[in-house]
Amino acid sequence: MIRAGLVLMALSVPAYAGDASGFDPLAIDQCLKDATTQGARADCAGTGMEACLTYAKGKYSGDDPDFPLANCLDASHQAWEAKLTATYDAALQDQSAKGIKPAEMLRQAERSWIAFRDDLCNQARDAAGEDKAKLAGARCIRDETARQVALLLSLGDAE
Amino acid sequence: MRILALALLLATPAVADEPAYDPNILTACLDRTAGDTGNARVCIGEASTACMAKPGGDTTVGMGNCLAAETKDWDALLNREYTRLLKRAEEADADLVKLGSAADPAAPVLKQSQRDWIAFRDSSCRYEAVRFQGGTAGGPASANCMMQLTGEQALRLRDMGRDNEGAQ
Repeated sequence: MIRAGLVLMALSVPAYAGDASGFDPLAIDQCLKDATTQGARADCAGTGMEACLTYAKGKYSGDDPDFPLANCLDASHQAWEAKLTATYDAALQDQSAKGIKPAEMLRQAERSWIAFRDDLCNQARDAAGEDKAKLAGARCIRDETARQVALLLSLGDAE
Repeated sequence: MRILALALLLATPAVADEPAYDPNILTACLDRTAGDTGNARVCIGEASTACMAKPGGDTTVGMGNCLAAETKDWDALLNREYTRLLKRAEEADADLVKLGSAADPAAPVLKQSQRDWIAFRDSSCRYEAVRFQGGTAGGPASANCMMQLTGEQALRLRDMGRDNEGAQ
């Protein structure tokens, strides 16, 4: 009985595993599963955005026209960030088993990626101008995080 | 007689056992995807894949040559786009100075960003090579990494400043 109640409750909210943003992180997993190349994996960056925007536009009644997109970009970035952490941790575990050197090189690669990403997305913010800076920055960091996931996943391809 | 043979040898293009890289494949792909900033990335790897499918292209040396040839083309595009952006940034910075603006100049930011990209590329592709711990796959894997990252950066620079406000 309790279980049936829980299922009903689960069905009455949109079938998203994530937060209240209406973004479904599982869509990213599916896209990555179907993709076979690094480029195709990076192109999964915007997966889930359309459904999120439809949901957000339906829910949002405020007067900031950028809010739904900003909110969905943020949710999308969070989902990719979680994916990156999981992918990086798995790679690090795998490399640590092989020795100190590859693991340290992976850490170095990740540090240099962070420096590069910060520079690039600051530039994107600056270039977009004051009113669009937030969206441009959010889009940049989401896209670059997705690309880094694609890179780390593809490093395993040649094995 | 020997001189004639040597002359003939020099006149034939490249070496017979080297796979032929066709630079037109990349140019055609960039033309085909022009105007769509996201899709030009499908071009990365197309020309080298075609090259590796040719006779001699599937050996370690052949793969390395094909990947290096495509990387060189992306690198040329990257340099063209970087030079264009730097010129634009320097001109804008000069205007700011004339106006007495206190805004941060753009050119040093662009230069720093490119230096950071190089560090990112090198550390990522070095890691890629070391993962194979001296195996023969380390060369092509590292070369593939260089090509992929150079292509992505060339396209980032190309699309920088383009209007992508509608992008999700």
